[in-house]
Amino acid sequence: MPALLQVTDLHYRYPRASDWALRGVNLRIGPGEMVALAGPSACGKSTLALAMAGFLHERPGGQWRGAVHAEGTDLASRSLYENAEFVGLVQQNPEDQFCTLTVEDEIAFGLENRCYPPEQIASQIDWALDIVAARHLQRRQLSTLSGGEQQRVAIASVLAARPRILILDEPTSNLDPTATQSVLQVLERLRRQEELTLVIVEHKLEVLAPFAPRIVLMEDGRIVQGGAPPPASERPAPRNPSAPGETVAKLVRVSHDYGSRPALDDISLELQRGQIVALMGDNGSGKSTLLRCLMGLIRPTSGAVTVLGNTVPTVSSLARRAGIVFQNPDHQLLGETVWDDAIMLARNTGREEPVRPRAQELLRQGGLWERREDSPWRLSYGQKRRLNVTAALAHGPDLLLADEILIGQDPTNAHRLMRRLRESADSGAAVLLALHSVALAQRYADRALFLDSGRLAFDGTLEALGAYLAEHDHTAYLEPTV
Amino acid sequence: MSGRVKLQYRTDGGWLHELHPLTKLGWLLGLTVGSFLVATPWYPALAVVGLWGAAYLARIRPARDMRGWRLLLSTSAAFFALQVLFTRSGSAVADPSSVLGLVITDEGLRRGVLVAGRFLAVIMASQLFVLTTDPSGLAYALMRAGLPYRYGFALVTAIRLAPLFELEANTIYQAQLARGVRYDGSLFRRIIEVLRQLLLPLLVGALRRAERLAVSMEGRQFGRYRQRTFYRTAQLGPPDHVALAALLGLVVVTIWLMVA
Repeated sequence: MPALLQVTDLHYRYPRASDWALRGVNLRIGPGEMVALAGPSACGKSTLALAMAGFLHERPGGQWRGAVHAEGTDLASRSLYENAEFVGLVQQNPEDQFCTLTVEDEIAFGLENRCYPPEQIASQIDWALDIVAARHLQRRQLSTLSGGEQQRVAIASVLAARPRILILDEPTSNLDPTATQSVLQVLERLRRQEELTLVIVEHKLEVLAPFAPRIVLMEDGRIVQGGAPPPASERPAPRNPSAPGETVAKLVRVSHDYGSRPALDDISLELQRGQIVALMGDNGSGKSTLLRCLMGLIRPTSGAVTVLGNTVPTVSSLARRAGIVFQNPDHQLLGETVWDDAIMLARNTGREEPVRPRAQELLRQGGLWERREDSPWRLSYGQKRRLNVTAALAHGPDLLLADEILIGQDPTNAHRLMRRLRESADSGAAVLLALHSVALAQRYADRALFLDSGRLAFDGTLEALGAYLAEHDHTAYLEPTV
Repeated sequence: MSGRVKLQYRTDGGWLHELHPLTKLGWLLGLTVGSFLVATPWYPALAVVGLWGAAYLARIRPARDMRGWRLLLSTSAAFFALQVLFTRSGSAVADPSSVLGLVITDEGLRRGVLVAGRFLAVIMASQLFVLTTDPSGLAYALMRAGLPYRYGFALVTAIRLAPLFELEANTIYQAQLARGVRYDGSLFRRIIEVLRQLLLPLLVGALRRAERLAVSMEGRQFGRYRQRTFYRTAQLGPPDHVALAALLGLVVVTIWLMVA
């Protein structure tokens, strides 16, 4: 098969970086192929995706060695604009790449820049929306779309110019399993109907297994292995739940709304020491709002919240005994060094000395001790996430609230984080963790909650969760490793 | 999602929503300039009444939909009170406190209505414009009217990102509170401290976002050519013609009042 895209001995170093991000990558991609680029966080997958899309060879200050050829032409001999006619790139977070405010404008954007006449733009918009099964979204504002809908529009907006190759950088990492399924169906349709060549950067290889992609495994800037996808692993049997201890948080008929939009609807539940409770539900189902209510960051519209004995919990009153980790690691890097960040809460509450040994231990376990004098902004994504968890656990909280901290984590890092949470629960904390992976929940959690449009639709064991999901049209959650 | 952004375009609109963005922009500029050029207090006072009526007909309820409505009213009241209490020229109409030497004059009342009315009229007109004008519609209309498209998309990007930055700043602030950061001391000191703590994470987030947005825009050929085409069309309809005729009337009246 002739190569549509050929990468030859490619090295790349970012401006001001001490290490090479790519170290001699060789890769050959044929027409109509689906290639999955996998590997641990910061192994060079996204850099290779940018290089293949033609974004790196012109970057000022970057060092580029080797070559990428598209249909025999060296990308470095052409401008970014010329290369973009051939290769389209869809980035991880659709919200970050939207340039306009409505679906129609977004898909028209690239075509208008190419000076297509309006009649041709109209037909290209129709085609692109049809191919991603999103024609019904045409008149919508982008800000009103769900995560899965946004990702479909992002794909359509790149696809509208009809590139030969579509590169997608972790297209499902921010999505719930239902939306993930819908995006994967779009990719399958693209391959089947349009015979488009697809390169997908993806941690969750097993979700791609039904499409039988060619797997390219990277490590430390190199390709270390290629071949078929791994067989779907057996989902572990749910662990025997730990016995619930003392109740640390209680919600009675709690509701909250953002203006006219209800976020929580009549929620009653209790959280006990010694347990990890998996909080599940589609994007926008109210998981983050529930966590913020428990931390005293949001006062619910109605109902009673009692946390660690506080009947009107405020974040100031809870900070000493509770911790929260938000979705985006960058929002929580507050110290000047890794050590400052890890110890910040203890320092602010006058308990630095007793907390030091535990913070040291957690940093060592997270592989961050050697980086303790570095700025937290210099850490990789996975390292930042481990630092967030360390900072929330160092003071030994009685209640830990964690909001989708596994997004963008490779399996090794995901298990590493889950083990930290398990240890925290085993030492007596109550942990409420928002996540999408039933497999990880079954392996580490003791109980599951499922939110459906702000309502607590399920509260029970992990064993019973499977039956609930199957019965209530949430089967996407039961797909391997999603 | 941790909150909502109050001052933004409302999609559930009435007749004001249907007007062409440039018609509304013309009215906003006309009212703003007129309010400052005409020295009679009735001009801004009538403008406020007119804006209130227009808002009502457009299904906008100031107390519900306009950001900082109470602050706006109290600031206007403060402007009015300051002018009334501290203007000494004109003839006295009341003497509330001869001990403090404060005398209310007709000139003070006139200036009070003028200053408070100008303030209310300009802020209300601006908020009404934002609440009833699709921002991308405005940007596209400006670009079609001759604004270079690079500046037009700078406006679109700013409009799109502003609410995201607001939510991001809120999350960072909440993360700081959860880590025991206390904002004690005077209001000024608290503001400086919040800015100091928020600035770096927000700046880093903004730079990352800008980088990803640049990749997205360049990958879709933004900036390749000097000109671009536009898919979106917006024509002036009969209501626009009526509104523009009324605007012309406003301009004539404004000039007449200035001359008179």
